[in-house]
Amino acid sequence: MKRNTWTDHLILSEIVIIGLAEAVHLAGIVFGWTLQRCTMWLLGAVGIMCVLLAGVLVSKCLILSKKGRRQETGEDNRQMMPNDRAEWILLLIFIVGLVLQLLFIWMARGPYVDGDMMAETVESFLETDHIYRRNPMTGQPYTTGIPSRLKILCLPTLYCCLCRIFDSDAGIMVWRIVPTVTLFSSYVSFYALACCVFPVSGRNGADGRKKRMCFLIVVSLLMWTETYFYALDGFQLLYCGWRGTAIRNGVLLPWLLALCMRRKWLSAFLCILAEACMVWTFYGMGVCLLMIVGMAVAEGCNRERSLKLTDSFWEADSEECTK
Amino acid sequence: MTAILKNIQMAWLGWKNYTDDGKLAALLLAALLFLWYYRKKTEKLSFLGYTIVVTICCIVPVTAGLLMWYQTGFYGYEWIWSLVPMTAAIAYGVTFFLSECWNGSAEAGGNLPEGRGRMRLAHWRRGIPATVLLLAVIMLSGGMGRPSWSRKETAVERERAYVVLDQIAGLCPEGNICLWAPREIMSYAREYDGRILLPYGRNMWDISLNAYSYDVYDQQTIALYEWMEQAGNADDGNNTQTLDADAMGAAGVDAAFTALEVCIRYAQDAGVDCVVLPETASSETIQRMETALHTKARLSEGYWIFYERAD
Repeated sequence: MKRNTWTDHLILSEIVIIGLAEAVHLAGIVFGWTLQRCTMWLLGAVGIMCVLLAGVLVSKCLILSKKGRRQETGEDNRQMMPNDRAEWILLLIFIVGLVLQLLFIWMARGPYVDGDMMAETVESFLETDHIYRRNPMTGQPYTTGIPSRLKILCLPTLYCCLCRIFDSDAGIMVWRIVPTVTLFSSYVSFYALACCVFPVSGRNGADGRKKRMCFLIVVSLLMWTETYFYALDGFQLLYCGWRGTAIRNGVLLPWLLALCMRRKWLSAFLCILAEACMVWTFYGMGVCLLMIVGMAVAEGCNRERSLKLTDSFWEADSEECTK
Repeated sequence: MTAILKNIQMAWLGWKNYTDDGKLAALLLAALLFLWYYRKKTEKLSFLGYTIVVTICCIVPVTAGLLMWYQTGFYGYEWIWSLVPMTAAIAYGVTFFLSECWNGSAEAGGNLPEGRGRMRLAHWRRGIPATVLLLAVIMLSGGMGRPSWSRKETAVERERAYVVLDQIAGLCPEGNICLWAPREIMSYAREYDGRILLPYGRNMWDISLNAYSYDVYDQQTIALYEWMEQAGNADDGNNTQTLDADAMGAAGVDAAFTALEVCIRYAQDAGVDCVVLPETASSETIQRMETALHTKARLSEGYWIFYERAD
């Protein structure tokens, strides 16, 4: 499972976009770039990234076709599709659950804004065409300023750029479109995790896929259940999916777990950076780092245990042979 | 050291509060126990081991205190639970349990190596009751239908405020407008239109927002807020009890001067050119406000709007 899957590519792309947004955000703060300029640069950078990705994808396809591996990848793709009735039923239940949650986000009349000023910040940036020139709470110029750790968080600039690119209202972008993307990405992350805990192999392929789908259905049910408390994943994703904490808890952490289980430490490191760009960890190091350390220790112990088990198995085997 | 001790105390209280509303933590513990019992069958022991250790760390006050110290004082106890993959662990446990119920191994006394762990519709007799039971358990683990936050009320308040704000924004189609209004209007003003400026923001009453800026409000601004909060109840606009005597002295205000005029002076100092009062404000207050602002009030959606053009 060392190979990157489509889930990895999707979440990685989002992390890259967050990284690019952070770069233009910092440029806006340090060099006083206008929001218009930030938007142009972000759009350009994302465009270049898309072209590069498309190039990589095309060249990969060409190389694969030359080496005659098309058949192999074809099998992989087919494995993703359900091939019996139970799988189709599970997939249908999951899609219904997802659609209901999307409807909930889009039809909801009131988002949860306690302790959050994202909408005001985005409106303020769009109005002044600059980043943190005025206090978003009042619209008046700052008298003493803003904590620098908070100032470098890039999500408001990203949302402003998206508003400019898609010519969207700040409320719709922040309270509707971004939570939709976050919810979708969260399921992609949970799917990546499901792929790790329920691997598909050989004859048990269909069974593994059923378990994964069942896992996703239970996750979607749990999200409804978790709406009772603001610090839980479900509440964050369904009521305030634009917040950095929601993206971290719903998207980054499940994916990070999957990465750690597959020992993809480099990608895991990117999660630490993404968290630092999105969440006010105050002057701490954030949750991702601690999770990586914890999982690295757990993986190390697990590896030692499996090595010991293998050793004891070989010892017992050799003893038997000697006898 | 003092901070860590304080965190330990907060963690002790935090755990109690955390388990008060919903029982998801109990469901997590049950899922972890189940997975631990079947740990030989689970594919990823590192995930299980990590979740168990971190869950214990979040429950034991000493380790929870240390975790709170790590995440810094800005976040409360409940946020250390971000470290616990609660949703994933419960979903893993539930899926594992369901797969055990829907497979055929148990019916055959566990001697079905080919079919072990396979989920089949044919095993519905055990599968369906187990699924229904688990669904019920998951649903009941939440707030039992008790909402933690009044979403409908907020939505109604927001819609009402938007109607008023729409009219205010229409008073000055171009340029900024500085608004002084009751809390239920000012809460939504900045998110509605960035052109609307305020003498004080939502951080006046939502203190968690104070962390987002080093700016603090002076006494005059606090007096404005306090006056406005009582404007609906006032008999004649003389809410002198809300005004600090020192602040009045500093502003060069005669003590005999009435509070409404003082506040209007404060508001004008802050650049306010639009005032909104609740409909319940007394007629004398409305009249005096009109006189002080040299404008005529108009009633809209249960609020009196006073707009004074600066030009």
